[in-house]
Amino acid sequence: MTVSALRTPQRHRCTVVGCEGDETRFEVGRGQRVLHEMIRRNVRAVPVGCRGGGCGVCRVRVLDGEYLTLRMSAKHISADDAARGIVLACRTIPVTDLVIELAPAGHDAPSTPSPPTRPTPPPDTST
Amino acid sequence: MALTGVLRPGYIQIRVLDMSEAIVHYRDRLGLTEVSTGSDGRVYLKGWDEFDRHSVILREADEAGMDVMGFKVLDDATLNELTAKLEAYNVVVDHVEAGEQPGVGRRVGFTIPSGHRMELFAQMEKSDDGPQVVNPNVWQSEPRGMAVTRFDHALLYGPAIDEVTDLFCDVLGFRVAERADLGGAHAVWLTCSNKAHDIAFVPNPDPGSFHHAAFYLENVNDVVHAGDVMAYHDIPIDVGPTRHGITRGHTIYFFDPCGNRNEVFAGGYTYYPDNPTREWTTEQLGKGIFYYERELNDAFLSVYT
Ligand code: FES
Ligand SMILES: [Fe+2]
Repeated sequence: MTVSALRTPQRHRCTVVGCEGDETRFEVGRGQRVLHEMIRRNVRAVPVGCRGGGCGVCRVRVLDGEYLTLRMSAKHISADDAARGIVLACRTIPVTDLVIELAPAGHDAPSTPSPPTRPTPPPDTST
Repeated sequence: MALTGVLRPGYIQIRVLDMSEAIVHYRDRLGLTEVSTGSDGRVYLKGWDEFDRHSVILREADEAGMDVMGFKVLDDATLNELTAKLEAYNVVVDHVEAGEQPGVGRRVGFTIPSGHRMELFAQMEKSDDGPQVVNPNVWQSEPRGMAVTRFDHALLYGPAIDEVTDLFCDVLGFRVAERADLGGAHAVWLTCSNKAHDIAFVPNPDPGSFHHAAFYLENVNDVVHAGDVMAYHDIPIDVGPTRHGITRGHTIYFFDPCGNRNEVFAGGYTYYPDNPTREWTTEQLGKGIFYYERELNDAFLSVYT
């Protein structure tokens, strides 16, 4: 473990911005997934589905902050989506505080398989 | 021999996002036996009460869901007969060579109007870890985890379910054990056997979608034990333990690590071909699906892979 890792906070704040501009906040323990921590803290801000990156129900857009993602079903997150910060909250691990909004798949959601997603590259933590 | 034609669901191939997590789930939590890993990386598993070599195939992929469900038919002559019937019904069939899945004979595949791939096969090698046939013990190897006995059935989501029902009944010899009216469209529970269902379909605009794969347990106590395993290992439970009004089986819905829904299922009535179809009206559907809760949860219709 490097000195910088020791300085990394034990938890990050996740803020969910609602469509009316309302905000819901909860803490996410280091290395934990956004949706799992939201459920554990009894917060209802992002819809809960399969909790495994398969169903797309917890699709959100990251407005601010750095994060890592576990593999997400390409049916719900295209490479294009990933590049625009659209992720599945159940597969997203904050690296800094995060601000997110809901990004439910619309009727234009791809029903044909999209190209595989690349995980977000780990952010530079060397500072 | 009264049960001929299509005998039962033989295998299901499930897509997973992370193979090592999936193996822990299906082998150590559900308690399936890991049979082999193919040269293409697919992993083959089976339940302790199944004679055939495998019944669950895991394939690592970019999305979750189901690749194919295969039905075992009585013998090779039946496979030929059903292939001819499918072709006469204008279903495009393809042929998969023996050995494409280890230990499995030739297969006949086709896509049904809901967008799912189905296969028929007549031959599969017997497992050396199946039920014993001389002075048999209950099981040959002591079961683990939820100790599921077999792959039992699947529920699939997709369009054109009335056409799918006609195909399964008119060509493959299934019968409609139960049907729910969803205001014009129908959900159906189809059987090819004495079981209350071998496959079920619920209408949904998203073709080829996968709602759950169900694994059989002997009784409701085993379902409760499975729930204890889920709680201990933090496996997300969707609903249950509860009972279905439809089929009357005891059940828990839960999720595998990449979001495919699984079910442990026990009981259900014995079906005979002269049984009338049990019908559910739209306003009672909640009771049909979750008998005690008497209403659907949000996830039933919206969460699938
Ligand atoms: S809850 Fe299903 S993808 Fe996140
Ligand atoms: Fe089921």
